[in-house]
Amino acid sequence: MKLHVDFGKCEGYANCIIAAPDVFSIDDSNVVIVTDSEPPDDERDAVEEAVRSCPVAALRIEED
Amino acid sequence: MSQHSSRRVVIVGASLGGLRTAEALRAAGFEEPITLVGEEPGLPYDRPPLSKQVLAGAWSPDDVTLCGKADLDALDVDQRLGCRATAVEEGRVILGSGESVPFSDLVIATGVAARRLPDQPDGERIHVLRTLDDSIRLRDHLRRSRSLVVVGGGFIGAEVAAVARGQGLDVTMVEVLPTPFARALGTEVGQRCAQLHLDHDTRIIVNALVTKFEESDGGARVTLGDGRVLEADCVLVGVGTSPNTRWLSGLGVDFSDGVPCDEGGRVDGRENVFAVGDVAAWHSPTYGHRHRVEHWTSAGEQARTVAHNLAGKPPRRNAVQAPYFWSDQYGTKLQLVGRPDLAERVRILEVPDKPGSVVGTFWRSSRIVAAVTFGAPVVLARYRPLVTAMASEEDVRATESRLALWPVR
Repeated sequence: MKLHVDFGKCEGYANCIIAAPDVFSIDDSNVVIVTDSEPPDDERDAVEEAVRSCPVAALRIEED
Repeated sequence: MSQHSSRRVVIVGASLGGLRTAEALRAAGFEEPITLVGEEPGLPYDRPPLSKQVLAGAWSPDDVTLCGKADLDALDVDQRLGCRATAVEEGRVILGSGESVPFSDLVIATGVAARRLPDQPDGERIHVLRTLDDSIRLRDHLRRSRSLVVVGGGFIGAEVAAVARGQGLDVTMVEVLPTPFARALGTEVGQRCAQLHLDHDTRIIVNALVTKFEESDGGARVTLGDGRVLEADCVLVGVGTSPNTRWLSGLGVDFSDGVPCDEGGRVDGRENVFAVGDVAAWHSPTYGHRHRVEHWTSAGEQARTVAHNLAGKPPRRNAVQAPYFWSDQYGTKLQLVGRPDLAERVRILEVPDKPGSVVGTFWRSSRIVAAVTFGAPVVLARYRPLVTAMASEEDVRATESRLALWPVR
């Protein structure tokens, strides 16, 4: 599983961090940081929740 | 798909909860017929942006669709958009057209409606905000207005006030309680939120009951209980919501505060009826009672649980995550997990190196029941597991000291 982020869309809601705190963070200008762009499979549920819960649809999972 | 199937899931309500239920049913491998009934004619859309990006004109209405036409068609559901459900009888839903749709299983996802005050006119100048049409109408009206009165110090009113101030309107907020936002956030944190508005030159009038609305070609007038009269080009009434349950009287269940459900979304006393989203009052094993959660994330979680249970998988209850909610006000993100309404006391902490960023924590008998942050999303993320677990003071303080948060007092 590979993560794709549209940084232009990110508005810093941080819903992704709420869902998957070990995969996402946020920088000082409130733009998402992906701390693990190829997260392990045991993070899948959390990452899927993060993708679903992004209010601006900035996240996408690309399957390997 | 079977032509002679005895099963048909009818989902009434085609907003977030209803759509996500249909999607989750298909994702769970459910192949039987599904009917999706929605009152509004357009594609399902997302509501949080209606009081934020759409209202500010940053996003077009097309930007808020939850599901494109092709994706909706691909779900292979019988779409009844633009159809209002008016009643439910044994095994069938009656539509406004008089048509009846039989079901084996029913999912109630009709949401809530904006509450109106007594004698509130439905005119050109006096608005509520719930639907996409409401948002577009208010957006267009704000563009040609110089002043706005917001009736109700809640989150909808707060977001509309912030958008209007951003466009240079003169804004006055009227709240019936001594502190705005107190219903959602308690007095201390509510006051912090009110300060954000005062800092941006929004006027706030508290302890004020609206007794009369008037509108004319020249403007709107709002009369308060003490006789004061506020004049404005535009008025927004944001005084809460009421669940859309009137059509359900045929089920013979008490709907006084939403549709009562068990912890898997099944309506009390009804084997084949479920409810999701704002309209539903699920039993919470964490809190030991039923309550409605009008939050975006909860609708999706409940939809997945109900779909799982309907698809005949082993019974599942809701993922027990503390409710989560966010709001945008003047560029500050306010984020909330948990149930501030259950709290007996509050602690306020400052976030290091982030002037103006604060955390409010809410406590009930030495357990944390909620946390709210202003402008500190990463901090909130650390509180969510603590609030979900209703962690002890000791555990919470350990996290706070790692984050170097300092009590304000």
